[in-house]
Amino acid sequence: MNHGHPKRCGIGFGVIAVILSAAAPTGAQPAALAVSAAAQTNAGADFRTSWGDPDLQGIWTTETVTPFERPVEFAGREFLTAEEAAEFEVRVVEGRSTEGPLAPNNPGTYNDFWFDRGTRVVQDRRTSLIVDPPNGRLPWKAGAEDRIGGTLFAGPYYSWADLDTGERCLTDGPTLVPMQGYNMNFQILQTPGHVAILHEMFGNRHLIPLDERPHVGPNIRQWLGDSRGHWDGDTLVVETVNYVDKTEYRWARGWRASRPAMRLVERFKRIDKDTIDYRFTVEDSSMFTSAWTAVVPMSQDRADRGVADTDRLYEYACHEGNYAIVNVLSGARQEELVAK
Amino acid sequence: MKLFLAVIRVTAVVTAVGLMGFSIAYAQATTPKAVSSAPGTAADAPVTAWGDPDLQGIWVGSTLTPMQRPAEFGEKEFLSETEVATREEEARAGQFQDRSARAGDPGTYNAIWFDRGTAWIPSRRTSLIIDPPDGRIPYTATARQHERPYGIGPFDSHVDLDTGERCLSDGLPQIWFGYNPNHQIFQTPTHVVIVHEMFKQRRIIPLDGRPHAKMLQWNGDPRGRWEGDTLVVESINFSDRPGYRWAATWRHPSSTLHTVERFTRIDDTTIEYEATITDPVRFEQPWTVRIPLTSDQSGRGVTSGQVFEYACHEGNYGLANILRGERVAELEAQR
Repeated sequence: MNHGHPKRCGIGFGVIAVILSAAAPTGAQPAALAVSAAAQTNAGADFRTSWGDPDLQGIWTTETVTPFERPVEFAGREFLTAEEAAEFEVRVVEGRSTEGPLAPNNPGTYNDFWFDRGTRVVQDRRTSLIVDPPNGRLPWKAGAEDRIGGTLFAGPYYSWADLDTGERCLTDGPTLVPMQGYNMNFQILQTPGHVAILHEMFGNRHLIPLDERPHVGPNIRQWLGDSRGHWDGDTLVVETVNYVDKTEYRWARGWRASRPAMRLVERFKRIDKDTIDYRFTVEDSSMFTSAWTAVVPMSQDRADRGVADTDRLYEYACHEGNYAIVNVLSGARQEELVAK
Repeated sequence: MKLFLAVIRVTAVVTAVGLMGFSIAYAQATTPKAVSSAPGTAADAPVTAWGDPDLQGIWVGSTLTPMQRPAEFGEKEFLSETEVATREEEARAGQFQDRSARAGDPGTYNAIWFDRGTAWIPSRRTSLIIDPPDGRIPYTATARQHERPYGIGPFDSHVDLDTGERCLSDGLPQIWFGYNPNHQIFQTPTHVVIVHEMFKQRRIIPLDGRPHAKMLQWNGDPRGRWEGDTLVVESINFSDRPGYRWAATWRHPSSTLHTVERFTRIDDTTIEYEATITDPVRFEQPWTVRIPLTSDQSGRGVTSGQVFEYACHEGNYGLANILRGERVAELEAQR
């Protein structure tokens, strides 16, 4: 529903990260919860399409305040207690308001009404969405993160190509990992031969044939790769390769950059009316020392996640309102003139 | 996968001129016999597991048949089999032949890039428009004022290029046979989704009788229902972008636009598609276009395959080059 991707929208995230790392570690080791216990049951078996496949259809959100990588303050801890989780939720939500006074030279960002970031941790109260490696952190090879991600907002701003792919309205890359921003809605549709996942954000559509056809040839490469799906019991397994090489582009999150060495395996399992257990594994020996896995529960209970209710996806009109790119470049030229 | 250059319609114009230049004597065509003159449903048309007519698959509408009846055909409603065969043969022969650009013309994509199809529609109609009977869009005088000659500028800003050249949209209905013509349809008991390869569009059509949303969108707000074996999709609440340039005047969204589309699966490889377009500001009367969509891509002479990504902006050097070219032209004029 929200349109556009302004230059400064990531500032809020920077603030959160600072608060998180500054907070004193609690040190308490909660008893390990029965993680994804529901995933082990057959509760989801009640949800079937009329042709007998597990039914994943609906409009889903992945928004959560649970961090993608484990913050330093939670090092060595896999789960929060209920009290800690409640305190964490309050802290994150209060800390990210964009409507306070701005620092000098900060042009500001969307107001709080615009954002729709969710207010809740995931139900099992994990300290990170990444579950493997066990430290909950991306296993970057030395230097890989710097090479591909760069530093957001550091410039240079000579051309629109110096802005990141999200700011350019192109894509933030594959997977359904929430950006804690807006438009984080996904609609899944199924037929006997295909699954389609429509993302509200960027207008992406992920079309997944289930008919065991081979991948397209290696010369056909796409931003979101070439996906093939199959049912492994009640779990939809989607394997994606043939990513185009866009490592020269700026990416807000380097791990999501499209690059040929990546192989992505996503698994979707409906575990109850409102929940899909979604997990994925990224393999890319050019960037990571090992494969890594994240678990991102998808929910239809938007109130539980603290995001706006909706019964539909809207268009994502980004380019035509993207005055920010022009303004960022124009501002950089102005600064050059002033410096002279 | 393909992008959209400003110069593309230069070739389209050339093609149209070529068609009109055909010196074939079009003897009164015999009216074709029972060629789906009205949508019906074959008894053996597929149905979904839950009993709705099955529209799913990858479909193309690409055809040599022009949307509006060319002047050369006068009141002639159908071509003869021979006339169609001649045109199809011509199209197949020229499908991969590049033409050299004229002096001063920067040229366009080469022939292998385009994927326009080589087949006339089976009914052999002289236009896709079936109503009004003259096969022409019934523009109002107001709408004609908005029809501007293509490619004359000004080119002061990116917003001076048309919405297609800007990689945004060409509007609805999506009738453009240049390239990326694939549409994939998905169905559930409560929704139909139409994914267009071009412009990466997806239309999400609820069937559950919910009221229209108030939100204005480029492709409007569609609602669908089954009338017998026909999916009827009604769309209103199109964004009003009268300040934008549009490649085709009849296609741009507006707050007064109302479209009704009908999809009827008539056999294994065919959906009869009809769109009735109403906009009292732009059209003297509602008008209707009928296009048989086919899942037999090669039968229409287009490339077979799945729906791919449509990466347009990131390769849109055409837009920057046009603006730069115009600045150079300005400098030269000052000398």
